[in-house]
Amino acid sequence: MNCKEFSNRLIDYVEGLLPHSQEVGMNKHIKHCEVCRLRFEKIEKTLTILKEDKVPQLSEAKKNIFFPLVMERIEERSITRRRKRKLAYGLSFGFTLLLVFIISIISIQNRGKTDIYTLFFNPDRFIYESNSQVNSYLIETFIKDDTLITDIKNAVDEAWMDKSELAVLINELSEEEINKLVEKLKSIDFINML
Amino acid sequence: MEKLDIQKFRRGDENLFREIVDSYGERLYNIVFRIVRNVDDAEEIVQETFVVAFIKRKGFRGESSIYTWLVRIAYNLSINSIKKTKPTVELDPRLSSGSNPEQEIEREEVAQRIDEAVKELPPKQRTVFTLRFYEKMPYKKISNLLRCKEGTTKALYHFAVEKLSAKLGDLY
Repeated sequence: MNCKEFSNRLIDYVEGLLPHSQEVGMNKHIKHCEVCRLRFEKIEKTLTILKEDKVPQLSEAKKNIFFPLVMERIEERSITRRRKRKLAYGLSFGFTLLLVFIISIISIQNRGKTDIYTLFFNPDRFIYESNSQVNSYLIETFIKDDTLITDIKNAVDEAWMDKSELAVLINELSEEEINKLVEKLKSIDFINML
Repeated sequence: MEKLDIQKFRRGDENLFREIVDSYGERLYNIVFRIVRNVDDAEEIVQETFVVAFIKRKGFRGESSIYTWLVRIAYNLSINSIKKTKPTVELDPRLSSGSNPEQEIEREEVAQRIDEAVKELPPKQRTVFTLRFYEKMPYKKISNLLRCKEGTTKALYHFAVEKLSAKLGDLY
């Protein structure tokens, strides 16, 4: 056995974990090699000293309050977690309310436009779903012989326009065009006509 | 402690939990002290170990023993504590405010030197050395606990012994 092999097996040798044949080889080696013998003795003594190193023991008083202290911490932790959860729920609820509020505002602002999309076509006559003023104006416009209306009527005559195509056609009008149309129709006493 | 009723533990049975704390508290404290080398820190870490174990009890599947599971938690907390703690000059890390007056005995040079030598070891080497040397834990179990290879564990132990020997070799 050489010094490298001895070194590789030294810790197991100190712990007495080597097979008998290897242990015999280690014993022989330290009889002849002074350096390895000193190293072995140093480690052995170090481990003996470390064995004597005692851990300061917990007092009985501390042992007795150990479990209650742990439970107290668990309780504190669960209260904190409950608070955090409540805060998270509160924030989520507040955020949802805010979101609903914003969506409501936006939908109120777009209400006029939405009404336009509710129009749909029946082959015999124009009808409307809601009785909003804009829809009424539009219906009146359809009755009058406007360029736009003529186009639509032509389309109707050609029987290719269905509900969705009419919606697309109206949808393609710019806001300015719709405003113009609405202003123009305001002068018509459509209520009496209907 | 008798065989652990895992389902009961996972349900949070307080009596069973008390039994676990009573059975393993001191053993964990001994290990943790040898890693952090400070009484207050060791007590704090052991308490926290049980708190974490209780909170995360539903994650315990019984693949390892409850003791191994607790040691793993304690080890992780100890490593965090060592990383957070700035090195300070202490006359005697054991004689802190929380220790028993009876234990506040005169500090011997040997004990001081051991503290210094152990504190110079990297945390993982300290842990491997503690579990192997003081707890007589097999390398395989230590490697499972620290989630590293058995060969690495063995090497870490050997390094630790060699370093301690170099530091403490002039004591006798």
